[in-house]
Amino acid sequence: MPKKINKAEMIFGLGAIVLAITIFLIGQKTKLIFFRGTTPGAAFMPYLTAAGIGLCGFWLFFKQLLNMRQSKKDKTNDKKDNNTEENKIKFFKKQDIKNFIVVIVSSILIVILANPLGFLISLTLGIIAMAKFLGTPSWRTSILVGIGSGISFYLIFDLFLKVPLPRGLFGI
Amino acid sequence: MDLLHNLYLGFSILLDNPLAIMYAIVGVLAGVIIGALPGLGPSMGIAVLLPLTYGMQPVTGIIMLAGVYYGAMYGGSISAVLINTPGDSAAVMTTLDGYPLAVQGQAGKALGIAAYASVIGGTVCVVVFMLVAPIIANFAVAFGPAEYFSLMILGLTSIAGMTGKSPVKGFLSAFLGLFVATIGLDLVTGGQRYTLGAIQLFEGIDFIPVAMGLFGIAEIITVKNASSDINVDQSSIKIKNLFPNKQEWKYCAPHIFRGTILGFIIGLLPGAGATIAAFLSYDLAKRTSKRSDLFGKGAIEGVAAPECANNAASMGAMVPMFTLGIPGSGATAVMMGALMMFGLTPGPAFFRNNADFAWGLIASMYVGNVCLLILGILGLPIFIKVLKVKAPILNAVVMGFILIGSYSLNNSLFNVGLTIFFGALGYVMKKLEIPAAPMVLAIVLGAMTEKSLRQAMMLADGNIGTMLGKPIVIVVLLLALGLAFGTPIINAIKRARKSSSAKKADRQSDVARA
Amino acid sequence: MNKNHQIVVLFLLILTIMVFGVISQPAQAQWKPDRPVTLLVGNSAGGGADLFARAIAKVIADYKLCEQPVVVLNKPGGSHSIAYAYLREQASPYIIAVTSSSYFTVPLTGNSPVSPTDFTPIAHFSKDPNMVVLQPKSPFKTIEELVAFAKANPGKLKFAGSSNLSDDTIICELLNEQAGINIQYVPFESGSDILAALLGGHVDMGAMSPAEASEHVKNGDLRTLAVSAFDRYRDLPDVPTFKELGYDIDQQQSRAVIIEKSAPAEVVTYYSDLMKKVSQTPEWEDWLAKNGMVPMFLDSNDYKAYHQEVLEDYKVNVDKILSKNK
Repeated sequence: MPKKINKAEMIFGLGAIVLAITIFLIGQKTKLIFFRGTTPGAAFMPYLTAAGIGLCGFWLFFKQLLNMRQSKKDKTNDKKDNNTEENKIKFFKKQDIKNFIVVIVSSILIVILANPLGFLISLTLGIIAMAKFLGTPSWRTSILVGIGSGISFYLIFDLFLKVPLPRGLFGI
Repeated sequence: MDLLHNLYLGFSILLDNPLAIMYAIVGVLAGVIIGALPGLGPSMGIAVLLPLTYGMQPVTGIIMLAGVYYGAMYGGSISAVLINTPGDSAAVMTTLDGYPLAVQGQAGKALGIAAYASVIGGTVCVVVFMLVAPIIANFAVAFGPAEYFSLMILGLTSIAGMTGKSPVKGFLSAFLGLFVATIGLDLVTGGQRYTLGAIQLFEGIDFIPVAMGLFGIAEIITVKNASSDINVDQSSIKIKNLFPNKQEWKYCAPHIFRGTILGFIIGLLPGAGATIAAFLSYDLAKRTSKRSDLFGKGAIEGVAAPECANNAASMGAMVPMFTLGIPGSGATAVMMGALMMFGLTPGPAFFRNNADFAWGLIASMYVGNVCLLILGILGLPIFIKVLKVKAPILNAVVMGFILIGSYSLNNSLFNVGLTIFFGALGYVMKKLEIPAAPMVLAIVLGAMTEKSLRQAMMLADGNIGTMLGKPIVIVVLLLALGLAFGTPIINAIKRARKSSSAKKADRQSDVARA
Repeated sequence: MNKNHQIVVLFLLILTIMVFGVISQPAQAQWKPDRPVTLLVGNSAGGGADLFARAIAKVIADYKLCEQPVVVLNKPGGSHSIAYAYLREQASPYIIAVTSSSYFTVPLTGNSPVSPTDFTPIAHFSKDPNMVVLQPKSPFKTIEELVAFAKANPGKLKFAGSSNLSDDTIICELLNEQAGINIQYVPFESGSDILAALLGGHVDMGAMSPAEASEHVKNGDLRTLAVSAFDRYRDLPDVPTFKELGYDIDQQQSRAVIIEKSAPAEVVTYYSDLMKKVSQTPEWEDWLAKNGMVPMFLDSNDYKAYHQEVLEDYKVNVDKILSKNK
């Protein structure tokens, strides 16, 4: 049976190896010491974990490499087209990407707009946007939800917990 | 008996002061609400309600704060089960089986068992606390840096046990977490590590923004099919179903028993708290349960074990706080500050000098635990209604809570940014089936592991033999080795036995045939 | 008088009153805040500086010393640096901050974007004495015994202190320097960690606040060496100061209040007077005593010179420690 190839895992594995190397390089640049006399220094733990990350990343990458080799062999044996859709593990479903962008972009905007507009206002706007673009059919519901949440946040976090939220132009 | 007399004394103080009971209820209620909000935990709850106690009698004040403390522990479990966002580090383990149960429409059962396990763990430990507090205080300080290091190793090897399908992915997640734990100002040299000059990173990356991102946000982004707005069986809200049935009790009972003991002992150790207790208990339950493959997919024991352990640990943490003046965790530290503000200095003479206060407090803990149970059961139908909200709206509002919650930690927008970053990372990890729990746990353990190791080496002048030669260290390390390699070795022995007995049977049948 | 005359007289009368009014004003305008005042704290709720700030705010509220509310704001992070950076960036007469040792020490390590030169000292409240204690099974009865042992066994004794660069580190360093010995300093994270390590006998000695230590000392669980302070600690009068034992060590944490340096003189004077009133209340004196702090109030004029002295002192000591680490 042909083994499934997971390209995403390969990329992630490579990424892990790159991360490990970066950790090492930054450590060198900031002059972290591995062992000072008899005690582990500042670089001890980071380098060890970097080694762990690198090894695991390499394993992930290598395993997929083996799978690719295997499937190439099967291809020549089987004559079946092994690159069919079932074999490539679908990494991104369209809906997933949309959700991802909606949530992450809205959140980033909320943070950026927190100081100019005030955290409560930017949160309200963000929730309206997320509610709508994540699938609520009507704008009216989304706006109601947003405003309701905004008020609840105000009551809970501002009045009850007295958390000093960033205030914007409107003083909220 | 002296003990019963003291307890009677404690209860009579409470009854003299009916206001105290009311405050206990208020404390528990406030604690549960605050704990349920993603990102806010017991320490914040106590800090927020502290000003309210300024004018109060010390007994009433502490009773309220203690109520907040374990109310918040339970509250963290609520958000863990319902929206896969642990309210505090101890609740991380509850998400592993609690959330799958919720997705299967069994949220009521999960929350129910969480409430019961928590209260059982807490109540049993109040009893133990009464009996042994002064005696075992000395045990708590026997743990020095070398012993803590060995305990951390035990914890880290347990992480191997919860890696799900692929151990390599689990380890990768753990290593990433360990690395994240090193970011910040180094304790020993004072230099910056991987902070790239950003002062917001000097104190390191707190695990709460990471947990909220990896668990909460990642879950929100992941698509659910249109038909799977979390199914809530109307029938599961009936009171009858909130009580675990006999069969489920049978599954959970031994784990609750073990988890309570384990939790209390771990909680005793200053610095090792509810989190470590929760996941050692989960790991133990997984290894000793007959249904271990169900763990991670919705095993009810997987909720009971960590829950009773983390409440037991909260009680355990109070032992060193009261008897030695050493707070066992962030929340106990704030409580201790409150005590000192009331003019009561925790320490060896505490019980002697403040007998009536101390016993009144202990009596209030019983009351508090009972309140927790009632609140938990009564509140369940309400909590579950949360799940009936349509997915996009629920997700948007929860995102809002996550963002404002992560801000509230340190009044810092930077933390919010971190949460978002880890949310994106969490999504990628989820798609790749890289488990998130090891990473969060490694962040919690990593800092203490490294700190203990370096302190221990300094104290032992670099001599590893001296460092590892202490009795407690040896015992714990052997335990860790056993846990790490035990299962494979036992399996190998089993296989060897099987094959040798099979060979025997073959030979016998050969002889018989011959 | 005809109408014109009346108007002129009225006008002159009003003018005279106005002139008198202006002349009778004090020479310099009194500044008062017309908005709530923010008292900034660099650690989170429950920490030492936080409790200190809240005590100040409480006294002000209870005795109604300020017409505007004084609100405590926590900005934790970077060993208080984030709070100080925020203070400098906002540069507002309505924001002041409490300071502790990290105000002096962190900038000297190069880990802070701000330094004491960015601020104007308002008032100095108190000092936190530091007590050096020994683990319960310690064989040393006097400091001479300890020093003798240390001379014979360099690097063997372990001293537990909080963080790698604090008053505790300086005390250990000064002791080493002045006695010609080598006690190894091992950093821990907080007073409770140090207490746990001491009680368990994992370290030989450590630095703690007398308030934290006193219960255990009275109970016999901790032995004492000396206290780093100007005078003996009130609750433990049998413990000598380092000075009495012949060592020039009185390193203590200063607790003070500062404001951004561009604040006008009237603003500084206002806050200085406010803090002075706080320090004179019995509630404040009680609070200091309960927490083992020693009152030493200096208003803005007196603190200026002392601030410089303390800064120089830290510079010298921190340099010594940092150069050892290289």
